[in-house]
Amino acid sequence: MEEFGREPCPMRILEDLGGAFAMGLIGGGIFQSIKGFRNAPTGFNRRFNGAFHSVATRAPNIGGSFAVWGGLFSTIDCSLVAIRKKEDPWNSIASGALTGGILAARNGIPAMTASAVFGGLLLAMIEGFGLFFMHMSAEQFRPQPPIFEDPTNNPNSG
Amino acid sequence: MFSLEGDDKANRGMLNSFPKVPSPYLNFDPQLLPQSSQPEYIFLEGAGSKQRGRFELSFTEIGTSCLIGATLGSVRGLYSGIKMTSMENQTSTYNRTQILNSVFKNGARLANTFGTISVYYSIFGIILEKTRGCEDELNTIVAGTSTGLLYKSTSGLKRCGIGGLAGFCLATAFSLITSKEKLKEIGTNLF
Repeated sequence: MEEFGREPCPMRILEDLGGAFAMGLIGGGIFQSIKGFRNAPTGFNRRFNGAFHSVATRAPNIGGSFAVWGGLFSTIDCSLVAIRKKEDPWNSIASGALTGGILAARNGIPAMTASAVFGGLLLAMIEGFGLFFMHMSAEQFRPQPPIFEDPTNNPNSG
Repeated sequence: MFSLEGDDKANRGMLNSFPKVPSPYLNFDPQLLPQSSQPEYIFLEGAGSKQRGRFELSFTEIGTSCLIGATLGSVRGLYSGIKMTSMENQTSTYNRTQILNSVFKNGARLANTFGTISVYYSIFGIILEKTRGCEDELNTIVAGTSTGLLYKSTSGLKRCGIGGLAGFCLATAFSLITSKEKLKEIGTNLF
């Protein structure tokens, strides 16, 4: 699939973990700064302080949860690749479901099931969109059949 | 330079142990080749760690530091959890839950700290590399110092300075260790 631009498997876990952490930290920082700015009492200084405080306290936690998701997902993905000896979308979907299930393991069986279904659906959607866009972009490289004209019908040649 | 047969004394090449080789192209003295004290490697284009910039390596760095932080924090949490629960006479279920909570809490906290510092360092390093257009030890030191300053900037001027100093010391030590060869070269050129 689209695994050509990525690291080979054992190092991919670290890369995915780091990427997820950076994404969570930066994205969570932006989100929390807006939220803290809106929730603070009036006055620009207070709003600024509120935004700063909420970013400093909450953004690393969001990054951490992203990193846990990414790292566990990538670990299971690599294990499935090693077991099944092939890389396909089913790997990603299965590891998404397993990740969701494992991360909700301390909340009981119903929560685990719901979380696993949610993770599997999310990854199935992502993989489905990936395949769909690959098909779309492959359409424009389809070879055109050459157009032959019948020489007997051509009035100019006669 | 070349010798077809016999004449072992003049021929100190490494093919001396095979005197029957008739080819004049292989049977020569390797001392005639250009000598170089440094090992010579062929680098693939676009491959190898030297050709990759900071951005390509940053995600792996962040992930590694996160994982190190999680491991250290979990060990610390396990230790403090066992220490805490051994003092109370409670059921084993309670003890297990307390230890698990302590492991998760401590591990997540230290992993977040390490990962945040690493993200700051990567961002500073990438910005420096892109703006200066080169990659050397100065980038490492400046990025480390500013990471320390930024990370401790919320907790007062004095702590901020201590953080910056710690970052400077760590980055300098790291670049001294990694560029030992370069330092040796500079030293031999000076004296």
